[in-house]
Amino acid sequence: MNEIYNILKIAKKEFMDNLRNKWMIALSVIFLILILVSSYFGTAQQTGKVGWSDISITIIAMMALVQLLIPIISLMLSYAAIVGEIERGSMNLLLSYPVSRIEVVIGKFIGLSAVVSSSILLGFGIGGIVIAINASINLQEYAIFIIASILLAMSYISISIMFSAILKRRSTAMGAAIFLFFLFAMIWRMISFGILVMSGSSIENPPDWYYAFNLINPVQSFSTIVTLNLHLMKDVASVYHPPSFYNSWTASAILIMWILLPIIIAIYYFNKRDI
Amino acid sequence: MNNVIKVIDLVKKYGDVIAVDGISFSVRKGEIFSLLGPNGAGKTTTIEIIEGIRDATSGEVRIFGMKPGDVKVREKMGVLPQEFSSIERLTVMETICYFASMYDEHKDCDELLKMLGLYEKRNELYKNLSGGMKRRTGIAIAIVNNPEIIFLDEPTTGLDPAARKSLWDIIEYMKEEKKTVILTTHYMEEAEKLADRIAIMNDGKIIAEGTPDELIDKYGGKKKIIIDAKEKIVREISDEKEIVEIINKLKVEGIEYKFIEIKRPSMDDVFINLTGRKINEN
Repeated sequence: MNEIYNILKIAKKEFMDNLRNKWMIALSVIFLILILVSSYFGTAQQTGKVGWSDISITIIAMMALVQLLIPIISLMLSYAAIVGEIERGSMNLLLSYPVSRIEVVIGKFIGLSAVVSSSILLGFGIGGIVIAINASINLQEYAIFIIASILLAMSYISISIMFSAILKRRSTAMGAAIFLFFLFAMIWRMISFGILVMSGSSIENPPDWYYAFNLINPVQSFSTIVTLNLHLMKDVASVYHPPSFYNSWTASAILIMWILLPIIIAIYYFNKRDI
Repeated sequence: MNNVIKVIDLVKKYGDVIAVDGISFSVRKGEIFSLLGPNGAGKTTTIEIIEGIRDATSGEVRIFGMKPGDVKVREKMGVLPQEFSSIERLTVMETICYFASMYDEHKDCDELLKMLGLYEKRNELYKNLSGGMKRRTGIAIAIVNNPEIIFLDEPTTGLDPAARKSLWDIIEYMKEEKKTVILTTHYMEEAEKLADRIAIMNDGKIIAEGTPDELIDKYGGKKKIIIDAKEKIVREISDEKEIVEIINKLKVEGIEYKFIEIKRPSMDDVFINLTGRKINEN
């Protein structure tokens, strides 16, 4: 019980620190602008018109940007969570208190996740209300999109904290975070496509491993969860014949794996670390 | 007196570098014990091992009879780390209350702030405080749980003389409160003024240990008599008789002088005699 209490205190401190830093407000505004711009201007290129789109079209219009924005924000917010405090000297102080290193890692993860999740809920929440007033909203689709966005953010926060617990310098942790961003946002797709071409398979009918390989990428898992649940994408999806494991549940499980595994690794390394 | 800390043959290595080289000492309840030495002597590593933040390579450390890092030990101790830094965007009051919340029992935050002269600054963000006020906040954090033992790692480094003096008063107050204080410093004057006992560290080893008077008597060398005459005359003296003899000789020879000063050896002399160099020389 005391452990949970300690974790919540550390999480609250992390949350308060970022609230004061205006990070939360800035992120909420970014998410709000993103959804409103996507809804109003998102179809201008295709239709030659501007105006409020319903939520499904809005989600499709902003998917590419969300896939870039949420990982960047989460990585930048969290890469220094542990190594930054060690460099500043405040970790020594914290660890002299009756709190364990496990509680510190989990507390920081929860606090930072709360910051990004609150911003997503606030920004997309207000945006959703505006869209509901001006167009239409499918609540189930929008809820799945928001939950998937939060899971994506949490997975990147978890990975950042892992780097922060393992690496000795803040600058190295930032470098690792930037590399990871490019790996999952761009390089992964190139690699999977390259292997597909080399294996002689066609993109119209890719083999099962291609789906599995892409699903391992948290960005792709997020995209899979969202697109498979949009009614507008059902027709597109039916053209392909994905394997049975290619579904929202598997993609969600992979995102949850990306949340849990890095945190476990972070705890393992932070426990061994000489500060 | 009870020993609250016992260190036996402590060694800490970082790869091939030996930071702490087989030191042993004990700290008694209610005393101010100072680890004095130049930067890189191994003082911080030593106290961080006692605090339970670092692991020792070998040796034994007991604090209140328990292993360092034990939660029961941490509840009884307070720490002001060398590179102290707190949460930049919390106010002084929020900071103290945050750290207080880590304990089941703690001091009243308002009273603590008043006692340390921080009450007027309670609503200021930590990042906006002066160096001295930041260090005071650090002291407040270190004693918020009313600890039995307080670790102060170079608490006055980088502070101006007024802020340093003010922190000395706080440390002396801790002594009046019968707290055990472990003070690391590279300021001779600070150790001499505040500490009941001093362990001088150099290159990871304890090269001398005792009360300031014991160390000065044993390693400080002889007293000096300084006579400000036409030329400045400095002589080493062994006892009081020699002073009388020198003054008589001055009278007999008709040497006029402005003043005579008897200079007792200081901790600086102790360190020079033990190591062959000044404490701030690399």
